[in-house]
Amino acid sequence: MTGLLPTLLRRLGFYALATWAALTLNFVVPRLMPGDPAQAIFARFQGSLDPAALDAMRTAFGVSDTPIWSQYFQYLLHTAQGELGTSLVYFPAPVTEVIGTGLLWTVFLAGVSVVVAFLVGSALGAWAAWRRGGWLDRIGPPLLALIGAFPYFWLAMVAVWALGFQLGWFPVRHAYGVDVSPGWSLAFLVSMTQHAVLPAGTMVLASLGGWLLTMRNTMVGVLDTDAVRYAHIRGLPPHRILWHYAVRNAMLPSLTSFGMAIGFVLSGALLTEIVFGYPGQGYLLLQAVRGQDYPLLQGLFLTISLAVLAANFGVDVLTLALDPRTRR
Amino acid sequence: MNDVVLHIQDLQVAYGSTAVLHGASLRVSAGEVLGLVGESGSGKSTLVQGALRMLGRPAVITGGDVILDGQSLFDLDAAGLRRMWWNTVSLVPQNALNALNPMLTIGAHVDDTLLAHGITDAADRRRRAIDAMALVDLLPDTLTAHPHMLSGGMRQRVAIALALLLEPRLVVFDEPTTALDVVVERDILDRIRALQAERGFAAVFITHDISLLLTFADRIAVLYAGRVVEVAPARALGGPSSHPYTVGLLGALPPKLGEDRTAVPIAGVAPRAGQTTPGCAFAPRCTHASPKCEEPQALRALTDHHHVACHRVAGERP
Amino acid sequence: MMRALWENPQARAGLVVFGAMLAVALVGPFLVADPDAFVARPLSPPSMDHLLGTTGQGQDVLAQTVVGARTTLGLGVLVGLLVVAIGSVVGGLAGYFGGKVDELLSLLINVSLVLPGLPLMVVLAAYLPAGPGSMAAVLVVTGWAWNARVVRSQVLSLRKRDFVDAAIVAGESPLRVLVVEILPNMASLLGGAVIGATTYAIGAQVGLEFLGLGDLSAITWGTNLYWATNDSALLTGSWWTFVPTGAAIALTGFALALLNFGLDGVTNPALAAGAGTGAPGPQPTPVRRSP
Repeated sequence: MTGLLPTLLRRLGFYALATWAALTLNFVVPRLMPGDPAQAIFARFQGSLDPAALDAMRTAFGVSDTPIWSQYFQYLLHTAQGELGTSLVYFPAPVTEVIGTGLLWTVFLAGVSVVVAFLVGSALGAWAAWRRGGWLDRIGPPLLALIGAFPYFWLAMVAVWALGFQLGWFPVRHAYGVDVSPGWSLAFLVSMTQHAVLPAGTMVLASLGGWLLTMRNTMVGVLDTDAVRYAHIRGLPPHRILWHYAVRNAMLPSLTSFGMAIGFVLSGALLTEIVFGYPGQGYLLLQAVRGQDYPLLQGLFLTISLAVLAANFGVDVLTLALDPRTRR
Repeated sequence: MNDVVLHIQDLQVAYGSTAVLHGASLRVSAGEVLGLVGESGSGKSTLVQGALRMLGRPAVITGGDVILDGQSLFDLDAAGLRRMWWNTVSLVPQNALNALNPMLTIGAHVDDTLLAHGITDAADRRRRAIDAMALVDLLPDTLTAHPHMLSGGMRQRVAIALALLLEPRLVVFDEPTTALDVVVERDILDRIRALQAERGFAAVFITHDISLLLTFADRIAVLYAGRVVEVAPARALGGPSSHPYTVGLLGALPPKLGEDRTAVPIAGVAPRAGQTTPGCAFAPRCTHASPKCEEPQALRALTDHHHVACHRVAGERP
Repeated sequence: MMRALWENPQARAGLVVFGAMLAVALVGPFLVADPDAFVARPLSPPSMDHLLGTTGQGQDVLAQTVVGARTTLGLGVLVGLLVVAIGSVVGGLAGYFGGKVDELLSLLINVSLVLPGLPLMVVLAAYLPAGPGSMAAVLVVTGWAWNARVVRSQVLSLRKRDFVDAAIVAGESPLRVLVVEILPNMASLLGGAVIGATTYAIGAQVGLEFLGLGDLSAITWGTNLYWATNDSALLTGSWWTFVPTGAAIALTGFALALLNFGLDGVTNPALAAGAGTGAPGPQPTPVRRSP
């Protein structure tokens, strides 16, 4: 079956299946881990949690006597109701609250970085292919490949040391200064932006090369196609060919990669957040792993999986919308 | 009718470091239909598109000259060529599906072309677009369609309409029917013939199927291994003073209904693109080959309109 | 094809540098001091005795960098090959057999692709017993799916070609067709895949170890950087504990990238460096008469 609606429904079906798989994996993985969640929970909270809450926790982590199927359905039910339990590391904050704060920072930092890197990198790549053999085409890919070959956190730490400690141009830790409090005040926004420059800047620099190369290689192929040659001999001006004949056709493959990248944004820019002490999803993930905070871990897995799936679905829809060939 | 629109002299073209055309010559007069026939890989598209400098990377012209409407195309820069293209000479590409931009409507293609050639008035463009569709018997609503929505034949008609937009003196048809089935092919050929008779433009019709040209072209040029080996009026082709390769081509055609003849393929294989010998490239497959065939064979004139590159047929006349 | 690669300047540079790194990894450890031993005052800058200075634990940085190469590169190359092998098998089977097999395997591949790799990596690395085997397992489990998708689409399109049908009609077994007919046509794709997978393996390894999730008692490039930050390299300005390992990783990654560029250029001459004159967009056929 061709056509927009059946294709969309098929994709939706796939994503529904993938969501179920993600939820099930989320249920299974903590139960496979060595170490006993029950002991961990007990040891920590004996005496400070009431028996009902303790029981609920144990059920959530497979340490009760009810059969595994009933635990599974309990888990699905709780998840649908938005009940993800209470965090152990950030006790007594509920998991949803902990994830909530991290989410905003991650979306801001990693989201902005991916979008900027994609747009700037793709634009540079398109230009490099357009002026094939020019200096951008000759120098761009190798130079950015070299920069990107350094471990991300290494670049970040060099930036911190050089621009932060030595020159004092930018703050080196956290998402905002100690002198401002969160809110929509100008002072806060300014502080937020200042604190984002180094982490976002290094992330963009490290990933720029990849986007440039992808777009450049696709564009080189597109510029050699019959459609572009035909436009050329029909006398179309260069700017029309560049945008409507070349970039519009070269963009589709890049967009798919962009979609996946956006999805993974919510995994948190883990290394960035560690180096800069940025309180995002990645930072929380590491804390959860180190602190054996199963509820938080499971909650993080859930949000990240759902975000990736949603982003991929979004890109699928966008691709279907942008390519006239999918409509009939 | 000695008004020569296109004069290709001894053209040499290479793809990267591989020479593909080893000195080919062709002349097209105003209003005539010149057929260009040759096997796949013989260099037909390369000859005409290369002459017009329409080929992309890695093609490069390595020798010869091309005069279009009195102007040497090799002296022009990109801007000069853009003035010639579509105004004086246009191209109908082999596979319109690949040549049309899948992202744009047919109307956008027409509009783009008109705008690029200085037709600034929107109403004027709209009128010309509808006229262009009517010219090839397509409804105006074709303009709102995207290329993939049209059939192969319709797309080819769009390409023809686009080529005639600015009423050029010469139109090159590069294997316009190769990608189409036989019934649609017939329709397209009839249309081209009618348009040519009505508008009077000169046409170069490139194909690998010589039978299409026998009732359609005024003169036919035969290309073999990167060289033109014969140019003759359609009726004179295949006679006793024809090039052995041409004779072989005609003999290999499937016999028509009622014809008392069997098709005889030419023995041997054509040389690969890039292979070249100083002498006649057909000699290894020719039943009349002699040691003299190893010398370079120039296109010699038998009459004003009939040239053959074969010493046996043309004699020693220069 | 190897010769064409060698003639391409970028590929040649990449091969030479990567080869040099491998040589250092293999032979170097025999030529340097014991990286675990306490040799001088901690955090002493480079000197004639210790060319790259000492770490926060008084160990020789040069020795640690050279010895670290062995594990990091060894595991990186191994995982790169494994990831491509597994991805190729799954993708190849899916692309070759089509139908139900393809649907099932594609589902597996797509779901694996869409599940978030980094969190999975972190969790697995944290809970599996430390050691190269676990690290390899983590990297392979999170990395195989990308290759599988690429291989699948290539096999799918090759499958439709005439020469494959001819082989099948002639009675060749599916395995033979895959290995003898299809795979050789994918040599450059697989080559590029191995390069990419190795780069990923090295990078992910170093990242996980930097977070302290690897085998902290082993000497690898990642653990070197972990200990450097743990011993406050930045705050004390002891750049020599940090820079050499970073530079080594970058050099390796850069060499692999150059090799990849060269490979792209060889398989697709339109992409080769050096083509083009810098002119904007499509140009008319150039006229270049030989003198």
